[in-house]
Amino acid sequence: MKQLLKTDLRRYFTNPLLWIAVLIALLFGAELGFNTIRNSNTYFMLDDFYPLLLLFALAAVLALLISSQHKDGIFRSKIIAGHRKSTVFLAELFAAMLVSAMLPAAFFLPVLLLSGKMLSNLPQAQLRLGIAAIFLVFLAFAALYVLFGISSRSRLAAAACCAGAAFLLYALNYYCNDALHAPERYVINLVYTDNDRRECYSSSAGQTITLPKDSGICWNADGILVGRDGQPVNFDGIALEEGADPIRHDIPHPKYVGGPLRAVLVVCDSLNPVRPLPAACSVFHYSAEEQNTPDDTGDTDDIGGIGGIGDIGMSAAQYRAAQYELLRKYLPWQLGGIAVFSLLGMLLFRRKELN
Amino acid sequence: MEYVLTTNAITKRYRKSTALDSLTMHIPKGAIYGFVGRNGAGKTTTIRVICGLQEPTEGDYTLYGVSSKEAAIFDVRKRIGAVVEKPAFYGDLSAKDNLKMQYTLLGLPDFEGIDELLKTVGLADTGKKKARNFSLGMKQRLGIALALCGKPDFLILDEPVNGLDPQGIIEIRELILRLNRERDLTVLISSHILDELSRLATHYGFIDKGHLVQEISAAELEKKCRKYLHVVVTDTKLLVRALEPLGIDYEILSEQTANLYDTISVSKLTKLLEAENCELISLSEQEESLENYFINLVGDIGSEGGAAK
Repeated sequence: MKQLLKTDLRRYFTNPLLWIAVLIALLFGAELGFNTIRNSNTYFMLDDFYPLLLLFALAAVLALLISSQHKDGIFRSKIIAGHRKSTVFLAELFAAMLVSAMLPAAFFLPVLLLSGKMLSNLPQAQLRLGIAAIFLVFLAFAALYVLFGISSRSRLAAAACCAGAAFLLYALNYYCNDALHAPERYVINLVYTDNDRRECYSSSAGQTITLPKDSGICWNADGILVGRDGQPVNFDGIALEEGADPIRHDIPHPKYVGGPLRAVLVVCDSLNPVRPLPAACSVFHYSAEEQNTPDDTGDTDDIGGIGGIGDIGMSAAQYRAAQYELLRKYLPWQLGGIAVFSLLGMLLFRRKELN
Repeated sequence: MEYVLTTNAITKRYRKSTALDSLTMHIPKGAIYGFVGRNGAGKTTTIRVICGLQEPTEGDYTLYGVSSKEAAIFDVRKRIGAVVEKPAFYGDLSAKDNLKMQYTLLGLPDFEGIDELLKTVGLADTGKKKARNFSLGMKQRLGIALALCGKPDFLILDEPVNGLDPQGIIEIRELILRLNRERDLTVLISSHILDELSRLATHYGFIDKGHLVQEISAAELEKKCRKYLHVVVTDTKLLVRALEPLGIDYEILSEQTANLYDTISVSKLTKLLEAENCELISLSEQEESLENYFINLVGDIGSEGGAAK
């Protein structure tokens, strides 16, 4: 195993692609750090855009190097040299994980150097878990990319699969967020005024909204409120009309997913390596204003963040604490996801006949 | 006799075909074993199984006395070097760097011997040239150099001269002969270029449709392929009476045909036959080449229904 690891790591470390990816990570981290300095250390936000781009860079590095070993017969020569297939795979996996960890390390180095003083105002346990979660995201993707890399002799196909997987998993995360967090049913309040029927939409139970007379909004056949163009409508900003007598009407939420598909989505979402990323980035949100008004649940623009902190009536500190609890909940699933991808890769490689 | 490799009824089946059918072969220590067969006969599949790249469906093999079903086979495999189909190397590294990677893979403590190895295969002057830019002959030689790392006792070469020019073929041949002579290296070479094998091999294994139809030493093959006089006479019994006093080696093929393996002048033969009242109808000098031998061998097997599916 030692010989295999040495060979694989030497291979990675002598390839310029890896160092280009590390340089990109350093530049991203430096950019974030300098932005903080430009803001006079009053504001810090870690957008999940940075890790996503680094995951694409990682896809290029791993997919190209692993699939070229397949194509050039290097796996073959390792077996002929007397190594077991499982050992060859594990060495490949460990080397890939080590290399993948270099990218978030290179990213956080300038971030901590330039913004460390400001970030020291945030709860350190939350930051540590956030950093650990991001590292685990990269390790999980490394295992996934190894799985794709060993499956294909074509470098282009492997790179496309890896990058495509990153993109799809990201999209899946957002889809699951909506589908799994939407309530099964929600309440619509019907208001009759001036003998005209007005449909009302309630974004949370108990809130009543009266529609303007000429709004053109009505129920469709599925019980969804839609506008003139037949698309579901958003009632943000519509003024509340007082004096109306609502009739509560309970209907299925349009975004809710039930049945066997829900179970599938729950498993996919749990194992999705992207899932912890938004929460991990959220624990890094800081503003000087928050330090002065810690209980303020006001305008989200001041605090920023994913999901709109102000919308759900939390202060920034409370929101970060909630994300921290989510990360703790996700941690075993992250480790499980890494194990699942690694095991799948191992099984695939062992069954593969190396021609 | 000590055997480096013995296969025991190895069978390899795929979903729709059988590549190997109860293949049993024996490779003596120190031999250059020519593994001969048509395209698709199963040569490369056999080599892949021996090298651990594929698992046999049935059967096993023994390498240096260790069965393929034992865990120790992984350690024993370190004693072999192989070039299976095309050589495997890192295209973006030089020849020397490729050898360094192979040394690391084999767990060798230092890089001693790399320069000598490059010189042995004729790649000492390649410098920093990337392996992907080598000619086909250079790539083959690099593959052999990689297979020779760690001083293996058993070298497996799968069609090593494919695509090489005549000069390249000669160089590879001389390299193999030198290694066999100097290091007592056992070599398994698969090929369908029989003329080239005939200059190298000390033993042969003929494979057809996944089955080993014959194993024979080069000395025995030479006897079978030597020059002879093919005679057609009126009665071979009379021919035998004429030849007996001379102690000539002969083979009676039928009532009228025979092969004479020792040298005899035509006029003397005619006179002897005349004395026995036997007419010489025709006479021709023949020599069976390895190619003809092989074609006759697999042709015979084919006409008898063959061994494989």
